[in-house]
Amino acid sequence: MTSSPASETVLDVKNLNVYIKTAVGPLQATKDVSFQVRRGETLAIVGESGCGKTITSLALMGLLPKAAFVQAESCNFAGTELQGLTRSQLSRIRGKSMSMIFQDPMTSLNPVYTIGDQLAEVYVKHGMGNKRAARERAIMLLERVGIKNAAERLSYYPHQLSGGLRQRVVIAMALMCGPQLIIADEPTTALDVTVQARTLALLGELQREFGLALILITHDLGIVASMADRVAVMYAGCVVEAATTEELFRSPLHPYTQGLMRCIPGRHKAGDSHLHTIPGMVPSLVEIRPGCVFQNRCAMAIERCGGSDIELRDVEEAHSFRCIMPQAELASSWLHS
Amino acid sequence: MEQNNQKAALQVRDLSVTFSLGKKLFGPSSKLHAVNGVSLDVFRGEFLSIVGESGCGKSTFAKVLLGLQKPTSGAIDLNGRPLASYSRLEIARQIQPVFQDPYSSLNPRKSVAANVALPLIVGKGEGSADIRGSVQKALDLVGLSRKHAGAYPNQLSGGQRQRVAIARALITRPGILICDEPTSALDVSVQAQILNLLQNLGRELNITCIFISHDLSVVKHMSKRVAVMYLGRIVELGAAEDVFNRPRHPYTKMLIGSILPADPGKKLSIPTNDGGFPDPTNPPPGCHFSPRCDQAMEVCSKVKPDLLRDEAVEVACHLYSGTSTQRLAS
Amino acid sequence: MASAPTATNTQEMDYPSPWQNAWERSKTHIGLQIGFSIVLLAALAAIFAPLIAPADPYAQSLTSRLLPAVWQPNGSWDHILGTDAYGRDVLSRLLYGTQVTMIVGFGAAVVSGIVGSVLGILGGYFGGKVDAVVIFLINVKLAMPGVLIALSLVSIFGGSLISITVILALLFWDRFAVVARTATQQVCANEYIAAAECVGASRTWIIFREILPNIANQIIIIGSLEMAIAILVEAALSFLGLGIQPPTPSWGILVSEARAFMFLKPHLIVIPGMAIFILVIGINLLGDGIRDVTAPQGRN
Repeated sequence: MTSSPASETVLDVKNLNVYIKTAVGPLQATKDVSFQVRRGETLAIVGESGCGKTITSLALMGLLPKAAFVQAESCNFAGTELQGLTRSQLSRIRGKSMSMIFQDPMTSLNPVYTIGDQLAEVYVKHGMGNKRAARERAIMLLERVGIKNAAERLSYYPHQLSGGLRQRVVIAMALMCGPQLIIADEPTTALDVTVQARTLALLGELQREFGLALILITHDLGIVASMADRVAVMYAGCVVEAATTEELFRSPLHPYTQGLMRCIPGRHKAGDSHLHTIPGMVPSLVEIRPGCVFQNRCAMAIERCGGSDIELRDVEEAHSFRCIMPQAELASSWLHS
Repeated sequence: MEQNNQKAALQVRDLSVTFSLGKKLFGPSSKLHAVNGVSLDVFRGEFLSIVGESGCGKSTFAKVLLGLQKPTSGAIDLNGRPLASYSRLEIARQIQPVFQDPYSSLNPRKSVAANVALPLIVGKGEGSADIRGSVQKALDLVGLSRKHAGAYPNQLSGGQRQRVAIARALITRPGILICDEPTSALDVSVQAQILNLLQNLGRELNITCIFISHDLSVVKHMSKRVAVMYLGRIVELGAAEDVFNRPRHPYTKMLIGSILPADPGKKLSIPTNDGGFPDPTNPPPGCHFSPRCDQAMEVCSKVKPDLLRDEAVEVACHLYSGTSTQRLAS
Repeated sequence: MASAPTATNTQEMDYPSPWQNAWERSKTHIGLQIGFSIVLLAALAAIFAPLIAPADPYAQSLTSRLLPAVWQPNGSWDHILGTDAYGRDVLSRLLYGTQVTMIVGFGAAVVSGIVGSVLGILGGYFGGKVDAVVIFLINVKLAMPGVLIALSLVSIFGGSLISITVILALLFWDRFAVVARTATQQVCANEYIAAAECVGASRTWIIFREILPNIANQIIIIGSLEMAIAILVEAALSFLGLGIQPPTPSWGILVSEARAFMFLKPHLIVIPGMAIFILVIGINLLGDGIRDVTAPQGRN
């Protein structure tokens, strides 16, 4: 990674807190989430269900449900502060310079409109040009994402395409207005394995070609390893560790990251037929205690873990983690596992 | 063969399931061969995985074994007797399912204890005194505490629910467990817990386990034997070690090549020939995989390859039919 | 066999039963409380009408016709709500009318609920030809002009309590059938139905023990709506002179009889009108409330 100037930073989020209003008072869904994505870079946000990764992406897109509210130190997108924008100002950015790819292509396309109509709508709505220009761009992009006979397919309805092709249409739609940032939330979870590999490869290619910043939200460490430049590991609303992909897979420090990696089938030594497990389960928002969010499942937990909130510690230029243990001890626990 | 002296718990011969789709007013109604001439022996106490992508027929196959779907043709023998000769309750005592979605596999209006006791209550009648004790034992077996017996499904996490579903399946101590994607709805760390549990239980209770999955890394970890299915047919069958270390069928190779290793050093390998998954109602003639296959020959689009032995495994591919000598499929 | 790792070293909480949950939630559900109070009050009034009514609702008295209510000039505590054109005590007629109204409303809802739910569950569970028959019946019912047929049936069979209840039930079963059918189809898509089939459960077991508890909620909601509508339709029929026959006091008849004195004695028409209005709202609040407090929580 080159030391890029600040101007290349597309999205800079500092201390993002999302709260959800409930009958018993607001619950904190994410806690001091900070990250940056640069032009041409892929940031993976990885974690299990309920860790707050989807809430974070919805907060960035301004798509949170009404019961949720956001507090952040700053949330800078390509020089614009997103905080304090009105809904209509936000919707001008959303879909244009920042677009999103959702998990299920069946539900993110509207079944009653043709693909051509849906692609053109985004383009025309954001004032990028007239319908003819939209059609031309749609054909160009569909061909680019590998859909043959693109002009003919414009008149197709979503159900006439297979899941893999539908997700390609969704990708093309995300690219219609030439965005700077794409947020992909589990983009291949609903797809078959052989289709997944190809869809991810396509996404990577397009990212390099268009110089996009890509935020990839996933639970799959295999996807992270093959796609991401940098990784943020989330647990119970917190970023517990952030590093470059190589660094994270070589020497994960936070006990949760280590546990997550040991859980993957096929990673442990041959002959050892038991998978490593993390005991217990992800706490729900109401159960989170003060101190470290992982303390009740952590094998290394000591009394001090339940004290005050843990600060994010930097160990190297681009590696930080949220744990009170000394780095050397954490690193050796990984090596001896 | 070492397997010959083992007894087959299930013997499947030339099993087919055909669905007819939409009776059109004009023209022939289209037919979907969900399972197409599958023959397979499942040995007692073994852990057999069936892998394939959506639409390959693995779930329909499971439904047939569970008696939820009538086969169109073919024979299934359970412990040497035709499956059709067993009564519903007799089958239930021997074969039990663990389903994919723990959020829909438990009745939300019943307590955990009532959900787990279902097989006993249906089998014996409600009055049995030992139901409480059996439920308790089954919950112990899957690592749930007494407290959970009174809980309702919506009060439990996904992993706990899947444990409840396993307890229900095991309460009558069936010989065969059919797990249809039991962990695909769960998180990675919880998945590991459930996989370990299944492995332990299989060993301790000597249960025959048929494990259906699309996740090759899970299958590789779990099973002794693997069957790879594509469009209703078994294309490769053999010991997991052999299949994963030296895949023979081009489709198996493609599947294994699609595993994303959790290792940033290895880059994504992309399958080259992109034919896409064919229309299952109108599959390509000959070998169903031939349009997507790099090594397709002329014969591939004409003649259906049989499942033939090639060294350690059985494979249905013309690339290997020349080298093989004897036919073992049936 | 202590091989299995425990899933719960952190969560050692108690699990309240759904009834406890419903009870806890109903404590804060004001709509449910209001609705329940209204319906309870109406039910008590209906049951104890003979005990609490100050006078015989049929006793006419030509000397005390159209007496004013107690809050009006010249009103007296003998007739709290005054008397009608035949000198009958309005309060007593209102209380006895509650009997008719509750029996007709509740009876019509229960009968139509049973007919509709049975058809809907059968269609939804068995599918195929059974379902085709059910859909056909629903379509036939929807194509018929319900109120006109009810009117003609009443004129054939007369306006007894039983015939009105049955005729109203025939008017309302279709909505139960539609809802029960859809709900059954949704429930059947769940894996716990397949699991029950896999343990060899009979069809009767699956329908009564697996499906019914899961769709009961929706049926109760429809039941409360239909009960409210049945009460309104009964009042309308009585108002038209085709419902329960006078002198039996039903709320509709009270409104109908008061029509002639609408401008002279407006309270005669307002009081039974308000009674209908409040009871219908109460039933709807109760139905909504039951749904709210008994629904199982979502996934989290």
